[in-house]
Amino acid sequence: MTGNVVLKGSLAFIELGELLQQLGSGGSTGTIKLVCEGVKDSGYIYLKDGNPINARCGSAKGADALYGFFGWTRADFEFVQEDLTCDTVIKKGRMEIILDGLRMIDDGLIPEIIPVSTPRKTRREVRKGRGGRKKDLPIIKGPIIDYVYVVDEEEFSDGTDIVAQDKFGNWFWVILSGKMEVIRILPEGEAPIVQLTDGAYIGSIVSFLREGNVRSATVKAIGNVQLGVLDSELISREYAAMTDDLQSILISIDKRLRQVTDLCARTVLDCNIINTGHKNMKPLTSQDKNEDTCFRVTSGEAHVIRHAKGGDIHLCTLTAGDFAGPIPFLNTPHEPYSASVYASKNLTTECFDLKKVKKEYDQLSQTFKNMIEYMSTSISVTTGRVVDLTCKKKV
Amino acid sequence: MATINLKDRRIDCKIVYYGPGRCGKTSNLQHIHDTFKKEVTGEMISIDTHGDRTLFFDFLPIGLGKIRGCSVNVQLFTVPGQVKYRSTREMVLRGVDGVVFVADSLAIRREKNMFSLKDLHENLKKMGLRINKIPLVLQFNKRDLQNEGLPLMSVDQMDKELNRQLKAPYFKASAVTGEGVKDTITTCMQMTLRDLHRKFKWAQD
Repeated sequence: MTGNVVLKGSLAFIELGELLQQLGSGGSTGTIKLVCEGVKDSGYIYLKDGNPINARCGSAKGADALYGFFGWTRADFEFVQEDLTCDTVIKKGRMEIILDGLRMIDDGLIPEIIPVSTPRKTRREVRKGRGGRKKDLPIIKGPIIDYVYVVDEEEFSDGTDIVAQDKFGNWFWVILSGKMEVIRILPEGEAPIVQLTDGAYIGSIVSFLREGNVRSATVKAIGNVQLGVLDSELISREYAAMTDDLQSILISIDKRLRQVTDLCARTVLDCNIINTGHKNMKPLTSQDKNEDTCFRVTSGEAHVIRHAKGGDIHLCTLTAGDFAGPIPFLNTPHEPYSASVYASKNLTTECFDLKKVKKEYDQLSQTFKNMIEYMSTSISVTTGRVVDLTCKKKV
Repeated sequence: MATINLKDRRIDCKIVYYGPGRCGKTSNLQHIHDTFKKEVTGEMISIDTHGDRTLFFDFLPIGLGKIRGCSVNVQLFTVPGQVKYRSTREMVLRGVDGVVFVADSLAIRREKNMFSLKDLHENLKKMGLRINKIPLVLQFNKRDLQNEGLPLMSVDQMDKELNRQLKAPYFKASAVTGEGVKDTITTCMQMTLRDLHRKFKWAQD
């Protein structure tokens, strides 16, 4: 790049699509240099008479490199007017590239790269009281959004409570864009649990269908958020068509998530969560051992215990109808690899046909699979936070 | 907002076809592209978005003449109807100068029309535009389906439900046969240019 910089700025202010249109309508020839924090290599787009003819970033060249830049939503750019010597490898017109790039962003084919050090400042982030802890909050991103069940879009502004704990509500949403915070309120105080972003779900389908529609936590918008309203009728219909085995697994996952969320809230609020009650119980499966037994509790109780550096943590109690063991489509950091299961004296269990359940799971809609994956991720992340906080306290 | 390309002495303005998925936006543009060959200055770009297509081409309307020595180029776009194409929809709507809202006359699509019009209203609002201020033409499409015995809404009903407050000009149409397509785009272009005249006070000079 030997010419003079004639235009510079940030893509956070003018999007790449707009920049290309602007330079394109003037028939400009030269090079756009892009620098994105968190990306090792700079990006280059070569324009001839207003149309992109080539691009590069590291080893990526041509259209592949160019489309990737649509995800650099916070990069800095500068345009140098100069004669070009590079080959013309991109033959598509400017507008086609722009529309295609945006379509790829919307289809989730291009990842958005947001520098960690330049988060959007929101009212909540500058609010006093939870400052130290807020920085530690893990962020849960959901799977790629399946729009089949999305019937409408809604926008909420910063600080809005989308759902309030203990209140009734029968809406389900998936986050289309933006960030939200999950807060569990206990008698000891308010505990921020995690932050949610694109693809995460708000509202528990299982508890809505089975236990009425009382919200178990408060979910608040951090900055402006856009949510997709899910078609609850379609979801109810699909749930009703499931076998009892699969329904019971979903109910059980939901219960686990609630228990782990409660545990996380107590950890955040400095309550003692170290447990010794299981010492006199009979171990059913041991942490770190590769056991593949899967069973359902029919009576009595089983206790899932994580042996962490900070001490033994009682993650959840399993009662009649709950499952224990490795379910093929779930990836929770609990038993058998990361937690032990202990039995109460009166515990009885039964086996169930995992293959049949897996086959049924495979037939589910993408939306339901996404919800299950999201619940499983939430359990993982929340458990991880409990363990981390416990270890830190011990140190 | 239209842009003035000083180098080429050209005013670029943007007209967007909006409406629920499968209402006939693409058929409208396809018909314009195929019929007004002389006035279409660029290739039609078609992006396959799920459940819809996003179309774009440049259109140089003959007969509108020049404005202060500048030719007028109209960029015609359709907007993807699917909720998920937010980035595309926002980019397409940004700087829009005129809108054609294509409503589906099929009785079963009544609510879809209403949701889409509400969505248009909200998306324009986000860009600081007001639906009752922007040049807007309504098109009640698929009137030909009546001949096939499919239940359609009456034009009066559609006008009452969608246009009661907007009071925008409307046309009956069948984009697949071409009926009403030209009237719709011509009216929208005339309104758009009148609006630009008013905004830039070109007419006074």
